[in-house]
Amino acid sequence: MKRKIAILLIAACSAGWVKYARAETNQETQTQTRAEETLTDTLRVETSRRGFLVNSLDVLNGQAAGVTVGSSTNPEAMLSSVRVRGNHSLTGGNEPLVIIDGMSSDLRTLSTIFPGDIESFTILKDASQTAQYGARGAAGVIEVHTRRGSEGRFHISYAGDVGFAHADRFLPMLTADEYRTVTNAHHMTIVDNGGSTDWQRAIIRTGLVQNHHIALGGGNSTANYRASLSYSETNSIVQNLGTRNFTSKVDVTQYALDKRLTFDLGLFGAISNNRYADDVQKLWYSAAAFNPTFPMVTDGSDNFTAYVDASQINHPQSLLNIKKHNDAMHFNTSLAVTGDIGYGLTARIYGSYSYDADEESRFYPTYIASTGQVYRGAGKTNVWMTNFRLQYVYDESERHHVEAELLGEMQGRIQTDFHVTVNRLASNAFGYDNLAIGALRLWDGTGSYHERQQLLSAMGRVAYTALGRYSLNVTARGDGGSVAGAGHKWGFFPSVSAAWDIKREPWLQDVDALTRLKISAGWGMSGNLGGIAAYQSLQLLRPTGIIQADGMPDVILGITQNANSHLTWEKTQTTNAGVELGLWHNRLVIMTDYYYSYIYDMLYNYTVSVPPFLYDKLLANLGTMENTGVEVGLALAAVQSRDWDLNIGINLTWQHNRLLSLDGYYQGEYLTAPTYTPIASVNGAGLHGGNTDVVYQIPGQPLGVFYLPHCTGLTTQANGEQVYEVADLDGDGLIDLSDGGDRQVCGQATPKVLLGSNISVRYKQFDLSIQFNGAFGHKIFNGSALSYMNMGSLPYYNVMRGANEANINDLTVTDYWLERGDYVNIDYVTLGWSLPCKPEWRLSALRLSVSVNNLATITAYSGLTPIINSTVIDGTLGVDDKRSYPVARTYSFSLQIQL
Amino acid sequence: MKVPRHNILIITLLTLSVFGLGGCGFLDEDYRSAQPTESVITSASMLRQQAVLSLYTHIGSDTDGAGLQGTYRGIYDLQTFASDEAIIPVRGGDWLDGGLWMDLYEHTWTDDNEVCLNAWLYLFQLVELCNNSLGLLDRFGSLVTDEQLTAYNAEVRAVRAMAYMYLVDLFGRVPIVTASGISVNEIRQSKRSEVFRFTWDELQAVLPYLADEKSTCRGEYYGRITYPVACFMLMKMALNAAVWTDDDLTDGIQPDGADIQLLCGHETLNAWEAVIHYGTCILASAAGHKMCQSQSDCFAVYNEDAAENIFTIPMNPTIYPHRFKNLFRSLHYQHAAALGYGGENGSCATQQTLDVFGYGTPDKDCRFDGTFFADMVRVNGEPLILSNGDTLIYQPREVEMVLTGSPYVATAGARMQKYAYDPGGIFDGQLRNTDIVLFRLADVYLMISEAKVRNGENGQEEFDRVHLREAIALNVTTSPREATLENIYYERWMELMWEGWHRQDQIRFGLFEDRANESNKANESNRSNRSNTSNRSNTSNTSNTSNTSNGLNNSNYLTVFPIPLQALMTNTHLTQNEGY
Repeated sequence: MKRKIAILLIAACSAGWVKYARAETNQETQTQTRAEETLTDTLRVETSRRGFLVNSLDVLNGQAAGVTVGSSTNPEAMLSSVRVRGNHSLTGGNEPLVIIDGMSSDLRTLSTIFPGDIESFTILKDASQTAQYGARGAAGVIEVHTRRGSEGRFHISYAGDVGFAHADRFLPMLTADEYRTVTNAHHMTIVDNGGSTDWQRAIIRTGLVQNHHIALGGGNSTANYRASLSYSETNSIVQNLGTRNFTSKVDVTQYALDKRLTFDLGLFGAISNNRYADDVQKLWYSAAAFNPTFPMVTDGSDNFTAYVDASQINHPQSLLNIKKHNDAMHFNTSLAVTGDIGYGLTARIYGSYSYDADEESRFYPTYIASTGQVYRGAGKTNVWMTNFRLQYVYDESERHHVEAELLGEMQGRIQTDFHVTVNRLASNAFGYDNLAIGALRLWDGTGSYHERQQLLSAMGRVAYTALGRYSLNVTARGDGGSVAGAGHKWGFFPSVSAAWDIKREPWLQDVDALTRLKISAGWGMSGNLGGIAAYQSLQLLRPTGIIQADGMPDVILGITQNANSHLTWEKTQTTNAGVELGLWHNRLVIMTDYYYSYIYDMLYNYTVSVPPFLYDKLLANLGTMENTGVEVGLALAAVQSRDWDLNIGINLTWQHNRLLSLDGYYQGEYLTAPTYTPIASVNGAGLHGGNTDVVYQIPGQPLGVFYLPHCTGLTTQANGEQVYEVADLDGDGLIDLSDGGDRQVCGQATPKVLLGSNISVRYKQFDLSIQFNGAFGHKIFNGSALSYMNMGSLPYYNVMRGANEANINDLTVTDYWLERGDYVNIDYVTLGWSLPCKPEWRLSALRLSVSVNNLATITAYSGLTPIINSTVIDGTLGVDDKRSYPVARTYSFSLQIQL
Repeated sequence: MKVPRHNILIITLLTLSVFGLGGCGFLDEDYRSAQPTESVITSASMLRQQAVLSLYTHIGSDTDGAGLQGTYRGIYDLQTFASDEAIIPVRGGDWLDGGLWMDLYEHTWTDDNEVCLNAWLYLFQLVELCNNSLGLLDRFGSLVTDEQLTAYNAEVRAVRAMAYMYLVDLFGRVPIVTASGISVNEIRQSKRSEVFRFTWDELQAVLPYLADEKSTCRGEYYGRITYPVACFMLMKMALNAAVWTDDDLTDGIQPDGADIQLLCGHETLNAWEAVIHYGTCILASAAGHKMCQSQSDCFAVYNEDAAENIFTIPMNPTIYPHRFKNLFRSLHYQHAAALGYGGENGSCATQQTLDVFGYGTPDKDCRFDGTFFADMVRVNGEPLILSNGDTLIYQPREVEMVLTGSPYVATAGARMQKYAYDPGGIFDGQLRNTDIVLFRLADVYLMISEAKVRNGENGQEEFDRVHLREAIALNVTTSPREATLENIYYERWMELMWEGWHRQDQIRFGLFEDRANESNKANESNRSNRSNTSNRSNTSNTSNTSNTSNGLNNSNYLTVFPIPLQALMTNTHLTQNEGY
């Protein structure tokens, strides 16, 4: 039922694969007159043209309008953030719901699925589309369809990539000799250990990357199956860090009773092993600023010469010996039984169960943490879901088409965790492998929890299409969530939408150039409980400490938060309208979408009066926020001939967010949020507290704006040093750097416009595909430059080239280092050769390709890279603060064989 | 096409049955690792633990801003860094912290001061926890005997009174809240004298029901408020009664302790007599408090048995999360590193403190070396070599508020010692074995001595017990001093250095002045008389503090901190203290 045309044009862009897909699409276009009335973004996955993929979320990057895949600040962690139409909440639940083959899942699980196992992504954005997921769909839905076996085609395929990642752009810090010269010129006493080390290069390497994937499948008229195995290994450019992922997937479909009954069974398992950086900022801050006259340790020992005067950083090599490892196991299984009852009725019973086990092991050697520390923790997540769905289809020739659906659904999630910490290690040689190496076990270093959340939903939907061109869709859904307060557990989420397929009007039938013209509009509500943790509406006791009153220690239980028994759903009302236009047999397709969403009952952690409250924070549903956007997708098949194809796909998203208000009455008390709430700040030596906040949440402004003192330029002090001259913005004759003082809003951290573009060219069996992504209209605070251009950091912390010439001795946070963040990044370029397979080869396909990922970034931003966190509302938003990795490219070669 | 109606009906019912499930408890919370009160308080001992003993997990803390002592940016920092005793200088990029420490030292704090807010939140949280406990005792009181219930109630109220003792000291006009679950709209401030009276009366009411036991040694009463602890609080209350009952700080008039009548059990005494009365109670208590042979015994690694300590925060790295960060904050990086710790190279003694101890004079007090690290320090007998090859030499006299640009930016100032080095400490020595000393007997003797002198009696005996003790312990000579108010003031300064009392003393002696006016004066005299103990005379008006107007000036409003802006904004019924 999903309309795949949009995607096809945007994503699948070349050669024979396109032809195949087009055939499939044409078919669908014929049957596609049904209730589906608004734009759906389905992304067909063509991994062979995608450059080197670290994880399946990368596939989404720049491919669909309105979808932002944030760059992870910890690349090893593989946990890219994904936002659909921006942020929807201040407290949680901003990640889109992921539905994998009908089963509700999360981004983390999705990122472990091998991209080659994914058939398509469908992004649901409008409220009327997400309505079927009601409660959980407020932040958008990503439906993932994995590849299945198909009738009559047995196949075995292998796909593999091998490549390497190589860093080639670093911060231009002073070399050891320059450091000596500069400090000498300023009559500073330095510690000179006689070495000459470029610490940024000292901790990196060329990282080997590889993916291997084998899939087999086939089927006949009564059953089909597909099974696959994959192995991926990504070694980071940072020594000792990287990730390995092993997956296995089996799907079986079997028909019974003359195909009136269908069984779909799926199994998926993944095992991953990750070695993370413990503190990315500490690592790169140390690598940039550590004394370059210290020699590298080359004998593999841990004789790291400490430099205690530089108290904010460590010997960079010593940081590589911290271990932060994560072993994760994911298993899920699902079964759907679909029965054709007759009379147009189809019933479907579906059940799924998934189990995640995560083990986290951390080791801090004695030269990092004063007496050393080892942490081991294991967490488990069990999620089960079952639903019952009844669908009814009534079709009276071409005139009336009715679809109706009833759904009842139950879902449970149990999360458990335990962890142990030991301190005072006898030796560093044991790593985290023997907890008995630690002499002390802190009381609060050991703990466990068990949390359960349950959801219950019922939905009814009716879709009516008249004359194949006028359609109306009405959905009503009720959702209950256990985490909401008693009496506030249920939310009601209706939606309505309509579409008019104008091209099907008789008076347009004859206009040949116009292949497609359709308009649609909708309104709907959805909910979000993601900001509420289990039991937050209840006043419960948890262990909070120990007293030793009777000679023996006793654990004390205490209240750890203000409970709010009125917690309920955050609600979003979305209105949207769209136009689809296809010209010249869909060689040019343009789709535009406009949306406005209004979020209310938004959760915010309010500051309340102590007394009478026990704590000064209370989570309450009082806020409002709005998101507006226009999305344009354009696909052009510019050249289509036997030897040549040229396809261009562009999607553009303009989005605007505004935090409207946070004030309101809670139980008769007027709650209000501060006008200026800091979100992100800079830190490091000399930047501990005291007006170092940079990005703020301010009602009336977009979430995440820069609110900074204005620097009118540098002024030279009597001693020749330069300082930032701060403007007296409020004209009171005093310079007040604090909030509400001489500060102004001067830009937003989130991009106003996002661009994704793909250009593909085929000449005979050769194809070339280029992906560009871009972001515009936002700014970046260059905190790295603020720190590294400060001559006051010398001699303890190294500075950048140019610092001596600029001679700035000031760390005042002003808009001096606020820069435009606009960029266009060439995500990948892939050149492929699909060999014409001779029959005697007994191959059905053979393809070779080479790719370069992250080829180049075009930007005016002066820092290492403008690709930082510009999406997620956290302490790193919009601030480039000594944590960016050196810029690396990945070069890879890939081979695909199909039997 | 026809659809059988009953099929649709069945299906509809099935779908709607999910709502039925909602009614059947499917959406109820299933808590396991957290439990409601009624599942926990099922026995007499659990009631005691939850209602009474639980309060003591809040005396120390692992969260900055909370706890009476040991963490950063809380009550201790207000009492210490707003006084003349200690300073955290700006050391280049370090410790600027937005001028936070400068504001404290220079008395330029405003109502958005973070430390004031932390202290307010912490103390009122403690009050609310006590009120919650009283509610629990009310609700589950049937689990225990009437006698136990009375004792538990008494102890909870004593903890609440302690919170109010700090509130009346730090903020003066605060709301008196005696039950939980009150609406914000009903919360109003009381006058400072009312808060004082409330606190006094509460302590009076509960005193007979508190166990006469020593609180600082392991056993049933370890870390709890017992009879001697409450007596100590009554002493502090009475000693500062003249200040704490003053409802108008800016009128230049302060009550006289001799005129303040306080009900002490069955008799009414003036404030000074009350101090002596409760001092005597402590000395006569069955808890058996005695002066230790040396001050250092109070701060030994294992100080549970120190007879001198009256109230402490129990510490043990593996049992309690409470932190003691004061040493960590003070020591130079290299010094701390030599001890196997991290250090933050921050706090140190002021010039005035050095003067009082007679640093750099032949008369240097014998406690100086145990209270501070100064000059060249040695660890395991070895001097410490800095990264640049120099030897680490602390420069006590080079301290000033802003050290940026000074050659002694990292080494200026005498650093905190007092507490023994605990090799068993972890997290940079923040988790350690030494209990944090809050109240001790030396203070009791000095309070009695002061009260006697102020009441026209002779306080020499009590004074000498403190003043001569360390010299005897160290077998050195010290010059005897007469127990005058001035000498008592300095004696308190030296004996109780780093213990968080000096701000109170300065205020009581009328010496908590407007720093901006004072600093010029002090600079002149300190600089010119640096090695001359006679410069102590610049505070000679101390002998006159029983008189009303001396020492009080128009900056006297600074003797209480402002009601935090956040408190004013979240409860519009509160008003700011006069002068702010």
